[in-house]
Amino acid sequence: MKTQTAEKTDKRIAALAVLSAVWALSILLSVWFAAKTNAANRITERNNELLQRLAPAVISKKKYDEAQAKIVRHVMAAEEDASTISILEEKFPGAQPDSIKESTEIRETTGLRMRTSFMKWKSVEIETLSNIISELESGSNPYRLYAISITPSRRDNIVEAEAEFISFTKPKTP
Amino acid sequence: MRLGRLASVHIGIDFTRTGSMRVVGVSRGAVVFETDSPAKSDDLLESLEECRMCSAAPFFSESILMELTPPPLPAKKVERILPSLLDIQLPFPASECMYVFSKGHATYKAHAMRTADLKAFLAKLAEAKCNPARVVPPAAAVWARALAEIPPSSENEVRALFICEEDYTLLITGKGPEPGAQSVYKTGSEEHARRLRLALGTIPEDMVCICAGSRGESAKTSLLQLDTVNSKNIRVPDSPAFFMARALAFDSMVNSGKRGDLNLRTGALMHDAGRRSEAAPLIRLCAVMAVCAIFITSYSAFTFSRSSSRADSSGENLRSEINAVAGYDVKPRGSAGVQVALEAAGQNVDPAVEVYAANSIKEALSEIALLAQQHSITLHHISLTHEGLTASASTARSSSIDEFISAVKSSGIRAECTEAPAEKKDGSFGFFVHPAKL
Repeated sequence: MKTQTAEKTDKRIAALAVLSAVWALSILLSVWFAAKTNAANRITERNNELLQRLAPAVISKKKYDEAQAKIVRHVMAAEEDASTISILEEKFPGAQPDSIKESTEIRETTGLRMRTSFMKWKSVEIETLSNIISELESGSNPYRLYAISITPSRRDNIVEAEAEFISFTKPKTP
Repeated sequence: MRLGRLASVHIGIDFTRTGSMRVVGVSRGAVVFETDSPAKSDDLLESLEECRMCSAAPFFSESILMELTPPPLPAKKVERILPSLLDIQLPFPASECMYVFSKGHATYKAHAMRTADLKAFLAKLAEAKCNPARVVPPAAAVWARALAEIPPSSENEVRALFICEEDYTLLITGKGPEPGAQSVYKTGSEEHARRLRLALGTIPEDMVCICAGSRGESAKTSLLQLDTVNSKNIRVPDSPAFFMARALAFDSMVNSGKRGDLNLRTGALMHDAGRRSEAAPLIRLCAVMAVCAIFITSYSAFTFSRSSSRADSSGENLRSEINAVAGYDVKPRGSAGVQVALEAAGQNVDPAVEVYAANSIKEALSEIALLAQQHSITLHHISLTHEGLTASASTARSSSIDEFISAVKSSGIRAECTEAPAEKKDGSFGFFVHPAKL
């Protein structure tokens, strides 16, 4: 025999049980989401740390890519300059190198042709060498000093020198 | 009869065995209408059918009033044992009854009614197109109303309240705020005095008799014949025929939905409005909790989704940076991928492009010549490439060597002196410079 109050209490207990279950479920879900959020935040932090480690390399790469793009743009627009041999013959007839080698190769990274000119002097005035370098570097599609080796001789201002110049030109169309 | 806004009117219904009905409306503590022909008003009929502020009282003979004297226990325990005490005193099982309790000074009053009688009463009311939200014990309602309309001269004033109708009379005796006992008998002129003596034994001189109901005046006349009762103490309230209905209307106004509500329509017989209002707090609580649960869960889900998308995006960003630095699609992820990318970074760089873009060799050459002069270094041979400086040199002071190397390094030229300087015959120090390793 159940009294009216007992019946009412039973219903309330049932309703409270359902409510508690819903609450417990929502709390469990929230805790689960919080754990997942925490894990995701840790992943983000770790990725950011790795990005910071990578940052200098990324900056260098960016600079390199920009420089390369700039060279490609410049070279594609410029006319090909004369060879180093003809420049030296024309501008420095009295300071001809003892040997000069010119070569051309296609650079894989840019697809451009790179002209290399290797010159060797047994004796050359240091000032003349400086002028030669300046002259070769002043064209519309200039050469650049890539390597240089200087050995002073016993005589003042006279040196033994080896210099390597490079220049980029657009690929020749077939 | 136009009653207008009945929504705020508490209605008392006095329904007698003869089938006649008296209805009283009360609003803001004042009677707004009294009628014994409710069928004449459509508004009233509509209200009687569904009004949640309607109260009725069962037939006198079907209402039971009992005094329960529980043992001295805490109130909560007493409340639990009251149904059992009532079950002992009733001539039939308490489970067959609807009952309510009211607390007196040391005792409790139990108002009970058989469930079958209450169902039959509600059915009769339904036939008369009435569906009151409350069915309250008549003794409680009229006793409270009598105290309000004819206030007692002292706290211990003994009172007898007659609700005298054509067929039956309800006699309630007692003192103080709670009715003491009730008896129901067939209405008859000699019967009132006899029943009063039966109820009280000795009739106190200062006892107050209140005669209400449609036969209230005739009850007063018969009571005046009693020598023991002072005629001044025999009172008839205003509009005695509507006293019961008025008492019910006021009871609805004062007690409806409150803690001391003596409504017998509970459990399975509860009025829909009562069920709704009883469930309302729980429903509100459920709704609030559900909204909170939804909010908390949604917020957590939203935060998770945002963090997850941030993690995905940073992962994607890292992957693309790793691939960009390495120059190819790097399979390992995370720190292993970064390591691979850093190791592979130099492999895609064409030194010719770097030298050409920076035009660094010519500038470095001038810088080295200047630094050599500043640190009194004599260069015997110098070779400069993108890898760094290779040189043989000499100086008079050995300390100048380190200074020179440091200055060259500061200019961004890779150089180091791996061997100790060798002292020459002339006292100078010869040394060699090599490109520093990365």
